[in-house]
Amino acid sequence: MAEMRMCLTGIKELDIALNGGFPEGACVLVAGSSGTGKTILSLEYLFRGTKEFHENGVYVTLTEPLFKVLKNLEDFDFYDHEAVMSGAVTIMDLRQLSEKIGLKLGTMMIGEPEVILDVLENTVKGVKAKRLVLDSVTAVCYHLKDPEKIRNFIFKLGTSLAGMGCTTILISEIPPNERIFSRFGVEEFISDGIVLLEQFERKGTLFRTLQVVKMRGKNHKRDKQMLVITPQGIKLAPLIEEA
Amino acid sequence: MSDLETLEDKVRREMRSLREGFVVLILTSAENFFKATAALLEYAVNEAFLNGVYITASRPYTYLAKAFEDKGINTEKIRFIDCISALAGKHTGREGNCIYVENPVALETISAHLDTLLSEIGPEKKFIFLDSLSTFLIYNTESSIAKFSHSLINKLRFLNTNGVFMSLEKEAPTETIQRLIQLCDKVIKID
Repeated sequence: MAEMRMCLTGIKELDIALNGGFPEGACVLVAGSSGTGKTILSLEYLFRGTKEFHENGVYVTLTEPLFKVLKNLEDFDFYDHEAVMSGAVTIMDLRQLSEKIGLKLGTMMIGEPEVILDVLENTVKGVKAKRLVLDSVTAVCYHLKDPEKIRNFIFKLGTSLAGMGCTTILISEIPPNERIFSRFGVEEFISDGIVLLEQFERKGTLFRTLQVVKMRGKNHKRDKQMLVITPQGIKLAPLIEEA
Repeated sequence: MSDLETLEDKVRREMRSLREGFVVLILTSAENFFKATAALLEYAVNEAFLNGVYITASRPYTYLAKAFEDKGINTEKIRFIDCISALAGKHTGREGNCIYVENPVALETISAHLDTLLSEIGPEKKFIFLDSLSTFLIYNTESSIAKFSHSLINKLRFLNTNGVFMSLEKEAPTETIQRLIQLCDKVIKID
């Protein structure tokens, strides 16, 4: 049996938890409520991808304006402005893009999965990306509405990107303190993996945690770890106590 | 300690008897706490030429750095994790040699920053200094401090790094101290 090729995230402790990274070509749901570190984790994955593994990446946002995304990154060591300028990391706003090509958000483009799929596939192909982040799949699903359409969208996205050897993070926004992985309940069944980010309070202070819930075809650690955001990027530490 | 032996002499004598990779528990009184701390650091930094990470929940970094410098300790060889200043309004994050953590309850955050600072020091011989178990116990449960200490000591053993755990003898719960005694190489009492 051929050995599974892996895509190291570059986040040391996460790669240990994943037993060597994401399976190459996998579609991984990173689920968490607001403030749990989803965007930082996925951007670190992209920037470390280009810096440490010479893999181009694409970040697609539907939730935050580009200038905000970039501004929030400036304090991190992993952020490399040159990578953005050279196109090693492509950061695009799907809303801006839809306006450029004459479509209104919420109507045709976002409501039609084929159009989004085309844009994503062509971008990945165009920049020879090996890593893609869609922030967020929840925003796309919100416009698709129909579970069947959502299922098809994620399935087709995963299949076509896997064929290009591109490993994808789909960011899933979930309500706080609910043990669910997606808003529509479909996303997690189509994804190859789930990384759950949560928060809890200990003596009045909020702490973040990370847990690898599922990674198809891979043995991985299943324990909940403390996620600490530092200027050097994300660090994980064994959880001592949850409350 | 004989009548003629000073606290500093005792610290030097005890520390010189330890092997590389030592983990030691220091039990002392409130009166001698700072004197003992300074003597231990003086040995570690100036005599054993170790670089280290000092974790403080007792006094702020700015106070400690000045006090250590006044004692002739080269603070450029020490990186600090200050777990107490943010409670007094200081922002968290890094400033020079010090990382400010939100509060002493953030045990895992301390552990994550410790990894970063130890790796910054590189392959040189190094130490970590925990100031102090008794102060951390003001903010945390006994069980979480026992787990934290255990995981810290395991990390030290794994990295072959020296460790000094300070505690006030009278204020630390017996059960916690007994657990630590079991994990440390030596207990040094400084009355």
